[in-house]
Amino acid sequence: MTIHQKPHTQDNLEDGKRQFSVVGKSVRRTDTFEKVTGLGKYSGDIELPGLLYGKMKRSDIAHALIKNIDVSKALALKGVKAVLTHRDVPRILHYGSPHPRSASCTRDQYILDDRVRYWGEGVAAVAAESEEIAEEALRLIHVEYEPLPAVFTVADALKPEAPLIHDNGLDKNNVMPPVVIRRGDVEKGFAEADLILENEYVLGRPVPGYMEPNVCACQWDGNGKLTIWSSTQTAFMVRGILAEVLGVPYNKVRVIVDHMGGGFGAKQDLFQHEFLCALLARQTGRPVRMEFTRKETFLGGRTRHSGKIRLKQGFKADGTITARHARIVLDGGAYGSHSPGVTTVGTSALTSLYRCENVDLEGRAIYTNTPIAGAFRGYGVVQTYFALDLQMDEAAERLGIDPAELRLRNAVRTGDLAPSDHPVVGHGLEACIRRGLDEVDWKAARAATAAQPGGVKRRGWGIGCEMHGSSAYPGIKEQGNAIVKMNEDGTVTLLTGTAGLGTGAHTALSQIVAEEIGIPFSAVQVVTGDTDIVPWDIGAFASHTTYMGGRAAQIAAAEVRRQVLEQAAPLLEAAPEKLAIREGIIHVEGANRSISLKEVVSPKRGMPAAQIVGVGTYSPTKSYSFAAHFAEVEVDTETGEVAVLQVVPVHDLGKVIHPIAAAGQIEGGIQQGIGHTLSEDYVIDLTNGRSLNPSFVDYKMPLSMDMPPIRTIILEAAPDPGGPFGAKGVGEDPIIAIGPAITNAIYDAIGIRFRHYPITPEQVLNALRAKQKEAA
Amino acid sequence: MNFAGKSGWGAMVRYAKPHSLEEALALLAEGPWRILAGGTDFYPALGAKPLRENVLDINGLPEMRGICEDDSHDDSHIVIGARTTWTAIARADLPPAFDALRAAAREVGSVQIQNVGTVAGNLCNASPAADGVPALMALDAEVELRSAGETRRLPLGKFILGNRKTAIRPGEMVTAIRIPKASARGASAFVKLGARRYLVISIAMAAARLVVGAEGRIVEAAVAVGSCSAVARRLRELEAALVGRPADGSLGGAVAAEHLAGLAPIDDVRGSRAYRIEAAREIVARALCGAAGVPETELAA
Repeated sequence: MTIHQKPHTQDNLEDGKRQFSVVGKSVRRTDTFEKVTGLGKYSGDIELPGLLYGKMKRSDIAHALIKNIDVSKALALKGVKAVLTHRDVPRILHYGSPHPRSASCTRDQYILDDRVRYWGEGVAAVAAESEEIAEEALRLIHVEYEPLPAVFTVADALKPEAPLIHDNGLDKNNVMPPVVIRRGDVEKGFAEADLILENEYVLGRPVPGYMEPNVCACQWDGNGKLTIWSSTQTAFMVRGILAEVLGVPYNKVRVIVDHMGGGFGAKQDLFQHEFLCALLARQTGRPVRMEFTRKETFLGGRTRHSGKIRLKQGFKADGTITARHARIVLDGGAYGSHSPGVTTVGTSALTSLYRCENVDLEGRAIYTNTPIAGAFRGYGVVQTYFALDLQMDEAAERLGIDPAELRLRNAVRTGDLAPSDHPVVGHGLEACIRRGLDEVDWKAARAATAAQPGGVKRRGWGIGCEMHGSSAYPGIKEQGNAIVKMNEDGTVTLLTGTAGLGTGAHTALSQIVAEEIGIPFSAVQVVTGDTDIVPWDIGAFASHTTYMGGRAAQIAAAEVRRQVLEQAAPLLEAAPEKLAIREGIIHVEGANRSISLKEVVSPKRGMPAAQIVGVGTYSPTKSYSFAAHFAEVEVDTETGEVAVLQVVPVHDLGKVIHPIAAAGQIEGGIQQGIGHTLSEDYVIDLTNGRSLNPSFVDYKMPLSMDMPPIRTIILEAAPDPGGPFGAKGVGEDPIIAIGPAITNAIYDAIGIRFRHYPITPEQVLNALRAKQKEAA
Repeated sequence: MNFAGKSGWGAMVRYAKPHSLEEALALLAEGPWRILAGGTDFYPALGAKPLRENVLDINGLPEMRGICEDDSHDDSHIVIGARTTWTAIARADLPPAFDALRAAAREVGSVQIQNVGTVAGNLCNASPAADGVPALMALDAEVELRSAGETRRLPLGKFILGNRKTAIRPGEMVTAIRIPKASARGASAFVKLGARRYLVISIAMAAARLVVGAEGRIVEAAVAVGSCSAVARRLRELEAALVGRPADGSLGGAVAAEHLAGLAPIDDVRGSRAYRIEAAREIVARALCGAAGVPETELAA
């Protein structure tokens, strides 16, 4: 890992002379000790006296009306305490993902309906004395279905005779009105083009595969207050929607999130089991825990949107892009979840990355009777930039321009309009591409692959680029909050609502607070994940936690610092603005006088310490992070296997808070992206909607042994004035550029352009055979 | 230890952990048992379901562990005890003819699985994708079965009868795998194709053993392919065609479509039938080159 720290130059950022003491250093994470010793508590670890175990009965048909559910045998089983069906739960139409009235999500779900819309949808729930009894009870529930015509592909769902999966007022199973973006004059642009390319790109259906299956535990107290421990990225959203659907005020729902084993965006949704667990606990008067099996994380989880993109671009001979026309159709699955947001963000991303004044873009999401597609790291941009960056490679070849050079010529830069409709800051993308070209010695590497002799194994180098916003603006107007409290011994407590998915965000926020006040990292303690204690938070998603939550923490810390200096000023006989805090010592600048922070804030004889609290609220617009990935692959031309030999990811993060954690995000994203590009695909039987590989036996994620060497380079090329110390997000970026980099490298190796993912060995071999036949 | 336990549902199941083979065989004579050794197939198959079968835990039988030579008969053997783990195979000092088996040992699941999973259990589970079968077939392995009254030996090809089907009779258990020393000659190699490097169920796999005589020509060949039929198969026509050929980089070209005619792979999410056949041809060629000691870089395109 290499980090290139450049002095910042913008007026509203810290000036370049600032010496950082905590930020930019890989301090020991706040959660390391608990995790490595096993002391950390996950929601699945919750043990409560009298705990019951909840399980969900899932449909074995993709589209049907429920004629009858007979639960009598299940209820009669010894140890079964409650059984719920659609007849027993509130029938309230709610958002699948609980962002409050956001345009990103749809309102099309019931806790349990009298109709199922995909294979694996929950139809009943049981609470019993043991998991085994609960499972036995599920087998005793008899569901009588009346099958409905079902559609398992977007093409079928769009046919005039297709059944309507939801009655939302839109025709042909559209999840929402199409996203349309038109700028300039596309027809004129194509007329001016020397080269026009038009291709269709086909997107697979990867799943997040988080380590910790969805789990929650619910307990009601004697006053009718619900406490729910849940593995969620959005504790306050869960609180709000649970309260509304269960019909209780917000202050009667307490959501607790301690450690989490990943979420990757999918755990922004509220799942059926969270409502059912609360209802089972209320009905039985006992605490209930419900945990998905691995299979259920496939059936009832959230996938990335599969679909098709038809992309047409015009280019001038010098590489200038004259027009861009795209039609994006995504498979939303049986419920809308984040389909509107994913479609909007993915479609609008095509306005940018590579400059183009004339765009005509249309994105749609379509309901089908397949598992629900939702939010997933990369949120629509993985899909659209896959198409865009593959076509850039093809254009470069046709124009006789080096593919990296073509990207540099068109790279979005300062002042250009970003997808969010506000100007890009700095030259991050160009900086990433240039740094990568040097690092891999691109010209020499490509010359070597071009000159390689014939052989069974062929190598290739490819490039992929991306930009991604930190925060969901403008789709959601977000807000981050933090409370920083000074304790009487000079230590500090940070209260933040942001969830810790395992990203190290709480460590980064603590570093920001320590840096801002001028105290050691060890003096900050962070309190998280309890909606009764921490300030409101929208949730951990959209690569915004460090950017938004971090900035809120910085603002709160600055307020604490201001109050401390105000108290210190008379003691040091100097104006507050003449004082500085370093390592917990308050100095008078230019004079040889100092006092410890502890001394200033500690109680005096007969006098309690004054309470010093800072509250930070931050409503961001958006910053964009950039990356260029360079990948070398080796294709086995006799088995079709593709091995990724090395990856050089170059990321511009504005300002890196914790280098190792940031690099961990980047390497993890690359691992996930390699899987999506080469092996991961959740396969649905197109005759009946059944899942064919809902397990890690047949859904293949790359393991550590499959990982290539990764030389991560982090740049601080384009700090963002909106982020703490200029920092921008990193969570989603690394999964976006790796797919195009690998796919373009495969072309460099064997001269075959794949326009889909995952690219399996079988498809590679078939394409090689077809090419040989053509040549013969 | 031998006690009757009570499962959650009232059905009585027995669990027994005998400490001698005689005790184990006597118990087997009493009725049906599931035999538990390393448990790496047993527990995943059981999942979260309650136990409904009697369990005979053979982990108390030390004599069934390890590798030894048996020269007591005219046809001397290398004997692999039924409780011998994959890790023990991978680390054992065995002749080059066992290289394919040792390579397969390193491909079975993860290191943790290799540490407890047994070779014999892999045969008894009788999965078409069992990693150990092709290499053992190429060694002409026999399976030793014992019951209270009888000991019999079956060639591996007659022991595994189909997908999850074996020739084990009621009252019998596998006690050893026996490799004739006459077949433990030459050098061997194993090639497995899966969707990723490790922890993967094979799309196709091949083991090849070659005995090379004077002038570098093949005098004996044994080739077996797994995951491409209900039971792994020896490719007898190919073996015959190989005898007399030079053991060099040209071996890859010796594998013809008709040599694979006996394979009948299935279409599933791991790979199509056509791809499995095509891939099998290529990995057989690579296994042959591996057994002949031809470096991969010399393979013809």
